[in-house]
Amino acid sequence: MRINAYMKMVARLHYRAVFSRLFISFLLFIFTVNTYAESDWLIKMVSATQTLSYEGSFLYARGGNIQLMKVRHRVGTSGREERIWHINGLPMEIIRKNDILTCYHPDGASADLEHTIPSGPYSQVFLHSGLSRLPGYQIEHLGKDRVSERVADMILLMPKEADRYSYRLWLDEETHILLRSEIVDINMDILEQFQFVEIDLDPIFHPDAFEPKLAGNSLSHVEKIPASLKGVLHITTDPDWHLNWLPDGFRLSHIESMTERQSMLNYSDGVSSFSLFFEPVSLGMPEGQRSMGATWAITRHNYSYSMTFIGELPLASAERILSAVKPN
Amino acid sequence: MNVNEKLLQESFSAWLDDESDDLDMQRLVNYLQSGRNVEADLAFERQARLKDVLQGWGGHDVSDSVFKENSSRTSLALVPPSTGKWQVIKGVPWTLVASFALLVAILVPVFQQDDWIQDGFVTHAVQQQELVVETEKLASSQSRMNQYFQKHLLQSSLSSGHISLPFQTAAVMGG
Repeated sequence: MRINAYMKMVARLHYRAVFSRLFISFLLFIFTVNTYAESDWLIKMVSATQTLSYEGSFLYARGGNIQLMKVRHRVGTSGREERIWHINGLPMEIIRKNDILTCYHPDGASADLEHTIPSGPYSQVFLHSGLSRLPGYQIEHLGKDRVSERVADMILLMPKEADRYSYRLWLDEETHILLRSEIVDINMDILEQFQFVEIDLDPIFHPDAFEPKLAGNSLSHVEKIPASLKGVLHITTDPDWHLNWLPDGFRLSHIESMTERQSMLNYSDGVSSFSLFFEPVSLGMPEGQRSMGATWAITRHNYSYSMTFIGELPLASAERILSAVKPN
Repeated sequence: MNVNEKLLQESFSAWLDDESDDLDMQRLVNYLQSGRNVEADLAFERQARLKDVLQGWGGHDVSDSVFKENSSRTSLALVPPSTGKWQVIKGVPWTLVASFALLVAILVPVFQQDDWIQDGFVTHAVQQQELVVETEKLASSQSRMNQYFQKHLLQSSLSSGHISLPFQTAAVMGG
């Protein structure tokens, strides 16, 4: 009698354990499927920006600075062509033909000719490295909205911890191209925003639509994106520094020795990124911090080195990262 | 010195001369927000101007002219020119009177010190040298910071899907 009761109890516990495991597996399955389905939005967005032809004007605001620009993008048999130019202020334009970029400035312009060269719409890494799973974020479809006279899907990238910013995206319902984006902090204050004011997704381009208008009387310089930088994470050398803490999901994506005494490390979680620059204190970089939009630049002295953080992370995370830097 | 630093210096001079326009003011505001050691830069600019005054202003030695004219002057009233011509006060050109007043204002604190000839000018020269070195270091740091910022943007556009790229990098071109 006692043995029977004992056996029944064991059997009941066994069934419960099996059922619990099945239930948990089911929940995990649903969660995983859901996560992958939501991250598909981002894959489609990147793909659309790279494979569609479009023409439009957009504004980009960070801090108190607002820029208004026009863009033309064509994908054809000869590859990708792009022309981006400023509407206000000094007339500057960038012409891109696949990986060759030429920047034109008016002759005698005060612009800094060492400005950053845009590398093309969105990262290849984002698309192919597996980072599209974005472990640091919860991806959510918030519903429909209207941007630039088009119906858009609103997507929220909410960080799982408060160690990075949130992103709100508006993707065209039909083509998934990005129409609008915002970077917001923990209080949901907007730090940076981008938005197409108008966009034509079926443009007819004039034969000289991708020819520079400034070419006649201008300064220009040509850049080629190095093949080694196009989207594959190649870390072949050990850096002189390491971090004993990183926000979840961030990975080392680039190491560079700029000079004998200056080096750079770049980390990314697939959406946000930050860079660390190292140089001897004797070079005179003072300690300090400043921000513009979502980007913080902070310099601290440690181990006789000036360590400069530049990245799109909140101040608390930036400071924690700097204090986690240790020499190898 | 790169193009931006040269322009900033010109805006700075224009502002000190009360000839700055909106673009100059925007440059100065950006500079003030950049977190650089403004006080050191301003002191350096003032010292450079003092040096200009002492070495000659307008193509002739102001101090020499002022002291020559000083012996014959009877009044020193600073009256700005109102007729479009240099106003003369009892035979002394207005420019010379202004120059003299400026020199007095600058040199009085030096004269008030003991052993001003040795200590005043030696200290002044050393401070000026230190300020020059310090200012050059700061300018170099600022230039490197800009370089770091650009490198970060470039690498970010390659290593992450920062949502506003490449539009962000295109926007940075204007700044």
